[in-house]
Amino acid sequence: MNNNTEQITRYLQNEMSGEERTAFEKQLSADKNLQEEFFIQQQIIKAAETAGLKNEFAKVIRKKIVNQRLVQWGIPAILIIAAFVFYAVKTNLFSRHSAKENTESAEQFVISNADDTIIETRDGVVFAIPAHAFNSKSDKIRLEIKTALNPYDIMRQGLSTTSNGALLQTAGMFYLNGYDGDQPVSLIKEINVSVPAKEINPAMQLFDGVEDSSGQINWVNPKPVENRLRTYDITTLDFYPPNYIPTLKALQKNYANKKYTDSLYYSFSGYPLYIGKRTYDMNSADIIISDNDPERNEIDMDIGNEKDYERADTSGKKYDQLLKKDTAKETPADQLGTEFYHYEIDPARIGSIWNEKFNNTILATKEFEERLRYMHGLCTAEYLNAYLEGLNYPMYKIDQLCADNSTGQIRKKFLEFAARKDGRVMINEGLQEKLSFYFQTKYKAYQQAAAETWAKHEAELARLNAIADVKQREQAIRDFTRESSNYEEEFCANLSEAYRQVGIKYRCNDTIIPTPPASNYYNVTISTPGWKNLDVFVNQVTTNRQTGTYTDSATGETITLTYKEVNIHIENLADYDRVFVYLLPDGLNSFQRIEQKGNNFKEGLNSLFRYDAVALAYKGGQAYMYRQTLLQPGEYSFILSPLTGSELKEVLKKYSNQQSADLNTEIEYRLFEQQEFVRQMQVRKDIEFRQMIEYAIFDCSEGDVFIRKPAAPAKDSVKSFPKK
Amino acid sequence: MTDKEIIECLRNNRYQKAIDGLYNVLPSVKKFITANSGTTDDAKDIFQDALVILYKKAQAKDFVLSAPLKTYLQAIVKNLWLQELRRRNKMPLDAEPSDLIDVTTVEGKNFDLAMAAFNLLGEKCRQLLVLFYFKKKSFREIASALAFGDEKTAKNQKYRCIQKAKENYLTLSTRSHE
Repeated sequence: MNNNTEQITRYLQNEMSGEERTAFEKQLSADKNLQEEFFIQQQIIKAAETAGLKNEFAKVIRKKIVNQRLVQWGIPAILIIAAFVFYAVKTNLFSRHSAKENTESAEQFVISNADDTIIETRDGVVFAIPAHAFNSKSDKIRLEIKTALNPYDIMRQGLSTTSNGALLQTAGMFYLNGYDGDQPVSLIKEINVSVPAKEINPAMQLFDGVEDSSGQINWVNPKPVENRLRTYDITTLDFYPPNYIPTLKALQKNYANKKYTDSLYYSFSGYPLYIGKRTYDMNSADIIISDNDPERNEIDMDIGNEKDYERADTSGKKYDQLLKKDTAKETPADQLGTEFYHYEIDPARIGSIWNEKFNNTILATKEFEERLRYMHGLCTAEYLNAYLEGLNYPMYKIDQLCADNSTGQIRKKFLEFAARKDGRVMINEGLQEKLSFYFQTKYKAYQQAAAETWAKHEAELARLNAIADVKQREQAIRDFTRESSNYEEEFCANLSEAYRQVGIKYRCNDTIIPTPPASNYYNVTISTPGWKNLDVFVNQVTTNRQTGTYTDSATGETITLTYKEVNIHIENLADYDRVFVYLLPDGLNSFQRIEQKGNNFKEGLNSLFRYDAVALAYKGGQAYMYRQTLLQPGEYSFILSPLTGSELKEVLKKYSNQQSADLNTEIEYRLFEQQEFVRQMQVRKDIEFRQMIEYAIFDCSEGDVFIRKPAAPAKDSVKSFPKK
Repeated sequence: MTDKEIIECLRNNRYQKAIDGLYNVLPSVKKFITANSGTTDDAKDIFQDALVILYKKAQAKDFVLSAPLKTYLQAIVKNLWLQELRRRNKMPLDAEPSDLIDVTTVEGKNFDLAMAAFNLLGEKCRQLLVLFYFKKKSFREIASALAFGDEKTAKNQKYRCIQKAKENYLTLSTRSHE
């Protein structure tokens, strides 16, 4: 393939001039290979557009699927568990074998139905029974519990260990029934049972016992047994994106201070994907939401107490509605193109769950920590949402749900998680909803706090920028005025000298002083033709600041105006942020600034004037100065020393009012400019820092890109769409 | 939502709204695809492809719906899936494409190749090209979003990505002719 990519790109992006365009089109119509390449490039661009569009659709669909699944899946899961226990209670499997054995081996307990109760049997089987678990009006419930954990007990009670004829390996059997007086009562809540085991076999399942036609117990309806999760103090876990702390460490920031790392991290809430949008050249800085920040305290006060939970309960809003509303608002999918946010997990989400309120939930586990580290790399918060919404479900079910709604590597990873059968943490009735509400409120509060702090920070930057703008404009006007009056004065002095050399007395006021060259016209009127060139000559010399000679064609007189060069070298020039050298000519009202050329400051000195020179340099907040009186043409080397305010005053006293006032203003401005320079450097450093942190936090390494899976084996014919 | 409203949403790039109205087609798509040698992942993918085609069709000013939108979308799905099955050499004999829409004409010739060439690119290249051509972001924004040092680097990178995609395309097309 010939390489015409650049040309084609320029053509397609309208970057060619008219001529170039015509030429290219002509070439295109003649060259078959170019035509093909052109076509391919167009197709590639179309492919990119299509891929983008498809990604958008995929994102919206994924969001919908996750939302729907959670709603659908919550209800049947609870029903199944309740049904199983209910079934076992009703059939009373153990008791049918022998009334005698029954009374021998059964343990009896009386519990209050109004309270949460924990029961431990002689064998060490623990039953956790929530309040009102039994469907009974009576408060006193009599419990009958039997356990058979070892082969001897199993045989003694005549229990089988077969499932549809196949042998089972058992980790123990238990039986539970509740009575109100003599009447069996049904279970309406889930009971948690812990059976002691020497080691955990992940393949272990829970079976329901049913009696077959021959009176034998058959174990059916196996359900996986989940690993109980151990919870930790949630604040000791690490919920940051995996690259965040290592990046801070590499940048030698105080990564061990959680207060600092938290506030920096949360300040990235709602952070736009590209920085340029909010403020164009002076954007972000390190925003720290400290605990002393009144706003933050307000947040804690507003949502950190129990009253809010009550409000949540009585508001009648279902938390899942809350969630839906929130996710809809958060994803600007239907206003794409106007906003452009990070699709990864918003730090405010992490902020709202990473606190002691979520202790004793699946979030406060090493297992969740591990998943979260993985989820930070996914380009969506969907998966995290699934875990937050499923606090009272076993973790492996949520893993499975995530796997069901993803493809490729992501699916594989979640299937891996699910295979570990990580279970749940018991969580009190109603707590899930409270926590969800808490999460939502806190999440919004964090987002808002970050947004407000951000807005404040930006407003302050804008204010400082505006001040700097005004000062810069004022300085530009001063420079312009000074330079033009300097020019006029020097021109006038030179012109008088030129006239003097040909024997004519001349004072500047006698004539109209030509405006500076920028004005493009000369208003000089001289009676004899020969002198017409004189002004041009003087003008040229004054502008170029170089010695000039002029011979008048009519009189033969030669006029010379002399400029001699001074070359000033500043010691350790590179050490200063900025250096300025000023000339203070006795013949001019103001000062003259010398432009820096390379490492030196060069200027032509007019032999008509006597000059002093002042060099000023700035480094950080400190100013440095050197003064040279009666500057002569030639080479100088200035060694600057730190400047104090009084010293400067002393120096300025020596000059005319106008000169010292001008120079004073100039120095004041340069000092401001220096501060501004330092500030800008800091702002730039902050931007760079924040960008690095941004890349560490928002790392879409596991992209959304669809991976097509290999086909399943073909079937015979294509079936039609199912009819409603 | 009426069909007309959904089309209007698609024209105004209000994806979420549009999909709210079209989402109820997905279950039937899943059943159709899984009943015809596909997986649920295939179904999701084909559904997205179909939405892309519908989107592109809807952009045309003279676009007229010749059937209810749901049926129309199903027709696209069916034809796309037949095309895919043919590609996988698993074409059932008795299948006839729906004549509601010809999906092959929407994207033009060899668009499959271009799509495959694009998908063979690295993650960063794909992101870059999507940001540039689909999201219409400037190089400055892209440089910032994808951690390129400056605009120039982003621009150079884009050039290289296009170049690579074209090479992929040519490799794929020679391979498919072999």
